[in-house]
Amino acid sequence: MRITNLAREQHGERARVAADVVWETIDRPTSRIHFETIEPFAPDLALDPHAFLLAAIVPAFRAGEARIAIDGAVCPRLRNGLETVMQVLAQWYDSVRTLPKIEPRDGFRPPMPCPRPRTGMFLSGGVDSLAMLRCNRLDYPMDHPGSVRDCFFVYGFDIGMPGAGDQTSFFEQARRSLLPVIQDAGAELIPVYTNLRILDPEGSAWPDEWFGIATASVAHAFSGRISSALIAASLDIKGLVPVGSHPFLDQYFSSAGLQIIHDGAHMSRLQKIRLVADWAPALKSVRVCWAGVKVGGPLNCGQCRKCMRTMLGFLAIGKLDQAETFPVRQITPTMLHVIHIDNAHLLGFSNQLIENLRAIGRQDLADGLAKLNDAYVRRSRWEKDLGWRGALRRFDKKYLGGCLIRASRVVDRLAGRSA
Amino acid sequence: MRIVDLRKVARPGGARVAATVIWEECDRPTQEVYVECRGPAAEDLAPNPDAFLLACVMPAMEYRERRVQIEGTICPELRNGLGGAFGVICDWFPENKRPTIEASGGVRPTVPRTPSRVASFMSAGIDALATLRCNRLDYPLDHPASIQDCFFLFGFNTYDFSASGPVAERLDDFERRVARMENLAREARINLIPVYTNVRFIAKDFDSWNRRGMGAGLASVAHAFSARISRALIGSSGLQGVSPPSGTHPLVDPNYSSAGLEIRQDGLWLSRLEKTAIVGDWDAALAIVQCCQQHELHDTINCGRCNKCFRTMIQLAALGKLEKTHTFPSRAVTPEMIHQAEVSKKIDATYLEQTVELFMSVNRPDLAQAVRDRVARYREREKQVPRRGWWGAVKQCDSRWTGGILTRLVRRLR
Repeated sequence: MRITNLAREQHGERARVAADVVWETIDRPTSRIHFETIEPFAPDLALDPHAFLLAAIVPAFRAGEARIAIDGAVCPRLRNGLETVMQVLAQWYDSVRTLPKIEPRDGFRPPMPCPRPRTGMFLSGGVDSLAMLRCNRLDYPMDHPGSVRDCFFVYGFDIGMPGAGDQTSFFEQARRSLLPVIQDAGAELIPVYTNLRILDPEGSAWPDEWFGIATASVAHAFSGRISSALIAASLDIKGLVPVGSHPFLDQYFSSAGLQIIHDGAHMSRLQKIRLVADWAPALKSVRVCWAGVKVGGPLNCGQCRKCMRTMLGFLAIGKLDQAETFPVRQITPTMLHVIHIDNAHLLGFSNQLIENLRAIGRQDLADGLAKLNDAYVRRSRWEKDLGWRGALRRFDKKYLGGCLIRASRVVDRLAGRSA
Repeated sequence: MRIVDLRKVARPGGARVAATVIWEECDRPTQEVYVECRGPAAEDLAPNPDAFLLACVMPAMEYRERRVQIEGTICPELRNGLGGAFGVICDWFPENKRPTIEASGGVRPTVPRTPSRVASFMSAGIDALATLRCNRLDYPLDHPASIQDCFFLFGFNTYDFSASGPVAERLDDFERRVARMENLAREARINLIPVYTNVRFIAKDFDSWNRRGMGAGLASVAHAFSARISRALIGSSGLQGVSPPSGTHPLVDPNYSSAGLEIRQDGLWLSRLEKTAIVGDWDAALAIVQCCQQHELHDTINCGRCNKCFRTMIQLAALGKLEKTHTFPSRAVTPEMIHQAEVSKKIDATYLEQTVELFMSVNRPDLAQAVRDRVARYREREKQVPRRGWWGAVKQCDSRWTGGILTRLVRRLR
């Protein structure tokens, strides 16, 4: 892969930095990827090779590109970090992948950090990022260098993702809804528009490998403005599973000039929901939904699994009736069918919900969630060969050649149950 | 647990910061925890509550203290980070319960010093030397990310202290090591700061230190110098060496940062062999490299007989560098040595296997074959060790519920 023709451009009223991504190993057309922002922040948009390198490295890695040649210099800290991350991803998902060699035209050279430290963060309007902003405000005085001054709101990640069509109007609606939060927090809201997801049109890399690194790429596009950028943890540290933004990975997207920090992994999902619920402007702005967005409509559909989980969280702490961005006020057990528990993180959250729902007298919902949990635990124990059933199955496989399991399937079939 | 009376006292040629640790739940006597150094760096030593909190928090968890109460203010970043570290460690060791943290002065974020300044921990081992060397190769000396200080610690080895305090012979040996390091410090243009501490000896036992406490212990020393540095690097064992649970781990160690001091593992992207090659290409490092834990040696720095020595010697030999160092009693590796090398874990086999191609390239097929044979012997044994079936189930129960006592007993009987 080659990343060339880095240039500043003007795109209508927005300032843009862009670069060509030329594929070398696989047969794909050249893509021009960009980062844009509106006029007041245009001078701070940096033509930083790191932004484009970070944007492209995961697609290059997945596509089997042997190298990434890039115009400009690359920081040795970032190079080392990316090598670490690619090794981790290979260990997690596919050990036969080889790391693309990073070949900067101007060599490896560490940039200098901003002379005046300034902290930015990514604000999507979801629970994680709102809780992170709130925590920061509670922990840091405004004049501390670690106090968040800039909030980046990105078009092209969830809103405006490839294949979703033009969603700029909805983006504008979501941006406006965040203004009370921003005003209360005393920060700047910086809209950023990027098309970097065109490098993986199928979108398969995004959740598992790419979204942390892509988020960091936006921060590097503002490396002239900020010295550190916070990415809100989407998992709490007790339920860690391999995922694209991870407390182990995100730190390695830093350069000598810009530190990337994965923040908030110490908090559980319910703690975050509580923080958001106790902050009035945030409760009026929260947007967790990726589905069913309609201009002029509610920010959340109230029906998808993300909405349902968050609504249950608000309900469990007695705040659902004040969460105006959700169109649903009553949750019934039949609505739980959209929830799918498929990892330890969700199981942990669900357990917390059950406890709190029982405490407020919603046994029906607690029981419904408990059933979902049980199903996950059974599935998981089966997959991992745990418990006495696992021991029996292992014994069967090793010493009886799987006779028992085949016999039980036959019995199941005869009894009319699915195996 | 209560941590009280945080203080800085003058010592001959330097200073000591100390705190008194009072146990509340367990029957341990009140202890003094300290960090001490000599020379100009002693001016920057401060009785920072963050430092003492880190020194004590893992032992407090081990001893099931319900709280850690400390005098002064702590940084919210560290408080949050400790929440994360507890989360990981309690996942590894479900029997551990996190203590609550109470600071008498509440929380207040620390401010990083300006200009920023970087230190690393120096043990003279491969990881630490490679960290320093890579930093020198990557950053110009005037860059804020360039390492300026290296902390060289007395008190992190099991035998450094006895019940009555620091062991005199060990201290003498440490001073010899400091003297040996002077040339490297001069060449790398670092301030080598010998630091004397007993944070290691508040830990419950070696296992606790090795699998839970070491990262926090290292970070506590760095925080005692937070007036001097804004970032401290811990040489990593590399991704291949990361097999939790581990006392210093790249997922956990960054959690010991505050708003004013970043703690980071460095060198994760390099394999052990790559690091050995980096050290091997640096004459000043090759002259002092110490991978051996034995200190009662007078003729050489490393014993040349233990597993760590074997491993390093084999890799240096494969790189053609063993004959250039005087730190081992032997400057040659024989097939017999390779056959004797202890390979008890997958990572040991990986380290060893990396040398095969190199031995072939330097026309030593005998050594390459010895490595292949040794690795094959390990793999054969691994196959024989039952992981499944009733014996596997017993082993799993043993490791989970009885801490591996049965397995160790069987090994001893064999």
